[in-house]
Amino acid sequence: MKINYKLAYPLQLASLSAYVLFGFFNANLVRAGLVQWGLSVLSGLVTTYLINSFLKERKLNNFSAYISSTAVYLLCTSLSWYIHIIVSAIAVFTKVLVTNGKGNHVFNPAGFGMLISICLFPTMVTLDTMQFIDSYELLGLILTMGFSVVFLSNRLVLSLSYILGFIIAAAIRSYILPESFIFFFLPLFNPMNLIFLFHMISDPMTSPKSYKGQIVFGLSIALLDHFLRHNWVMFPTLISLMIMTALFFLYNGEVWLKLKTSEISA
Amino acid sequence: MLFLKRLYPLVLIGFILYVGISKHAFFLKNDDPYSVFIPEVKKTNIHFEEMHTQLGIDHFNNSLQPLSVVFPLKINSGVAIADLNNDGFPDLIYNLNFDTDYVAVYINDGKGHFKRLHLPIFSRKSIDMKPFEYPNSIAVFDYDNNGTQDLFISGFKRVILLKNLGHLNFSNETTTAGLDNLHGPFINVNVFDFNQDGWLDVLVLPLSIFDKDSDITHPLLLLNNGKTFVDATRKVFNTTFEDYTWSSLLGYLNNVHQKDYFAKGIFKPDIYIQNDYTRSKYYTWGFKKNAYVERGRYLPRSTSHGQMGGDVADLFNNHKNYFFSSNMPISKFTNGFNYLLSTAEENPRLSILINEAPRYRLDSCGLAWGARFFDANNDGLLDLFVANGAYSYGKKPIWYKFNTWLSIPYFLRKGKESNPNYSNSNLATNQRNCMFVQNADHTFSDSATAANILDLYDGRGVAIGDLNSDGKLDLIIANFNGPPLIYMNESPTNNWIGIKLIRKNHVSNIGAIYNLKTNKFTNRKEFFPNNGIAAQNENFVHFGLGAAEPMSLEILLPGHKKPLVIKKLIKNKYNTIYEDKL
Repeated sequence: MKINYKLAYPLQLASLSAYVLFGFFNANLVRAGLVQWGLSVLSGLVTTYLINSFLKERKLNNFSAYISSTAVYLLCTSLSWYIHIIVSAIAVFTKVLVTNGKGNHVFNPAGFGMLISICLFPTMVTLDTMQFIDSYELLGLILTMGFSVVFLSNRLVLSLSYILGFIIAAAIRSYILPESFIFFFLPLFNPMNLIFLFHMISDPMTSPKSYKGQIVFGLSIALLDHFLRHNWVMFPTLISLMIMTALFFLYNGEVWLKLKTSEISA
Repeated sequence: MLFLKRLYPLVLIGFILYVGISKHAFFLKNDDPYSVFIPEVKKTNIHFEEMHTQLGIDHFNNSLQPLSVVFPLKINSGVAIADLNNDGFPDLIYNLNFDTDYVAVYINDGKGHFKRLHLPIFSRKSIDMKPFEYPNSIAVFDYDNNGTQDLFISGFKRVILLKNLGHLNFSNETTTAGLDNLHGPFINVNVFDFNQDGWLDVLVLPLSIFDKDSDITHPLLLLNNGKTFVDATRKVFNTTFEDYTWSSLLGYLNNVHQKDYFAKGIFKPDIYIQNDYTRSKYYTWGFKKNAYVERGRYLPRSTSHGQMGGDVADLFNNHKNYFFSSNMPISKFTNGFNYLLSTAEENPRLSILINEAPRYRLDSCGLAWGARFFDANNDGLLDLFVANGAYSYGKKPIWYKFNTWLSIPYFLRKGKESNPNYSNSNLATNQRNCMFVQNADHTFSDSATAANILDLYDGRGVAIGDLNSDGKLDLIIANFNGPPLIYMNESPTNNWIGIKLIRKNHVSNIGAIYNLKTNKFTNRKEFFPNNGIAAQNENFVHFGLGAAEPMSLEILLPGHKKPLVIKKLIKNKYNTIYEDKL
């Protein structure tokens, strides 16, 4: 099945926007308000513009910047109002920091940008795992739109592989540790974790195209995720994604998504 | 060369992770991320002496039994200060967990000593309290206006009403008062005459996560008619609620809007219901709807998690109320610190709450519970005490798996199956408390150690009283799995004034507003003694004066259109004011 660009890309964009708006009006996502969202997006767009001004051979996509900035706004939290501006800018910049032979970025920009920011400013920025945990409506929205996005992006196998891997690892941990399976399994439904799954792990630009590759990718991220959780590592899903992306790129450095430059800019 | 190009992302990730590890971005520096890491001042002009043993308080609150119901964030450590025998001396009432009694009552002999009162009615056996049941909070108030203070105890599975018959005799009126059909794990009780009919009502908060069998998942407003309590929640609150509420804060937050109603005798305090697992909510009285409605946007969700206790005060003598909310900092999982909330807008329709705790350096102080504003050194500036610590029991820190559990959607983690294993574990262990002393520039300096507040118990309820009537306010702390502590204030003497208001027909003064005018400043106090978690302050209002001279006092009483005005005030003394003599 090929990626349905006409639907997948706009749906990706609409999904993240819907989470923000629904979250703001129904599920008490505030951060510093929608203004903060605007600043985050503006930062991504300005960074895109500046990069495009200097780069001749490759132009970054504004919609892609919007997606990355919105994801950053949703997932990052800080007591400093300007953090989202910085993290969004870093996220967009990472698109040109690590590229493959076709000029496409290797790492999911939002995830990579957040990882860099956390490492550089550990006391100022963190990923909010407590957001949206009291809204079953928003959880339903994330699941519905998320599965739709991965289906249209031809990454449903990857998502399901991650979920399967998560369940297997949860079962293994509950077998060897004095904890219930439910306790290890339920964090899968953390809304932020699901946003990671559907919009970063399953990013068609930075994940394997083949079903075999998706299965291995999804399973390995989930297993590494649980391994990190077992060792009390913060941000396990994010770190697992970045490490596995790098390892897969080492194994198969070809661009996973063969696109011409003109298609990227569309 | 191609291989090196392929290796580049992995090397980059490795480098980034190395930087992160070196900066402790992925782990925490020590096993206890809730540590009190704020700097302390080395010298202060306040001093306390811990004297619970000398005063005769001799029980130990055993909170760790039975182990089958141990949860790192149990309360069962409430305290109330009230005069039970009307001898003019404050008595102390504590919750007990695993004991033959469920409440410990100490009677003040007026000579600086307390003696435990053992009555059969205080025993667990008398009310068939099962081993897994425990009380959480105590409110002491005169529910039938007969002049004696009664006990309203909220706890796991039920509430208990003990009527004070006088001469230290009590009767269990739970059934008579219509309270025996309430089945839920109740955390906290706040008291106010919500419908201004002269009878004190109660706002009881549940935490159903502690009991999957509970059918009460929302706060209960019980209206009292002097004999029975009736659930009037849906009538008085025109909005939805959240479960997992821990404590409530009452205060006239929106003073500018409300003073028009004070002139009409209408007193409807704002209510901030704090929540530990979902979002806290802020309610104001909707005069058109004739009910409490939820107002506006408050804190960002991710920064509001974990609120447990707190207090309300006109912190800077500018007639603007601040709500302090003690919190559970969840470093790395989200941002959560203590909050100092005030309304940013005077328009009640907006009622946006803003957090100014970082500005005044009140945001970081361990895993915080009971908190109290009080003038520790009588300099006219309010200070803040915060009790810390969660679960100093076993050897294994549980912060990671506890916060992982908290990140599960709450509607999925009901029931014990989703709970992590807490055996042999600790959380925010052996934390010191914080004693924030207000400086002249309105910043605060933590002076706990310098003030000789040295205990490392897991504090819960904190009450303010003056047990030896010397004008210096004392700290009475109920601890989780520890002895109750009494920090007697031995600070150097400074001027002060105390007000004890005796109203007609034994009506309570809860909800009254005291405006003191001195030759140097005006100071405003609201009397809500049950604010915060599991504690009730002594029945008086205290003002530190510093070098000021009291000139007049205006008291606004709920239900009264005109304030009481008292011009004859004696400093360094408790002025007893009789309403019927004015």
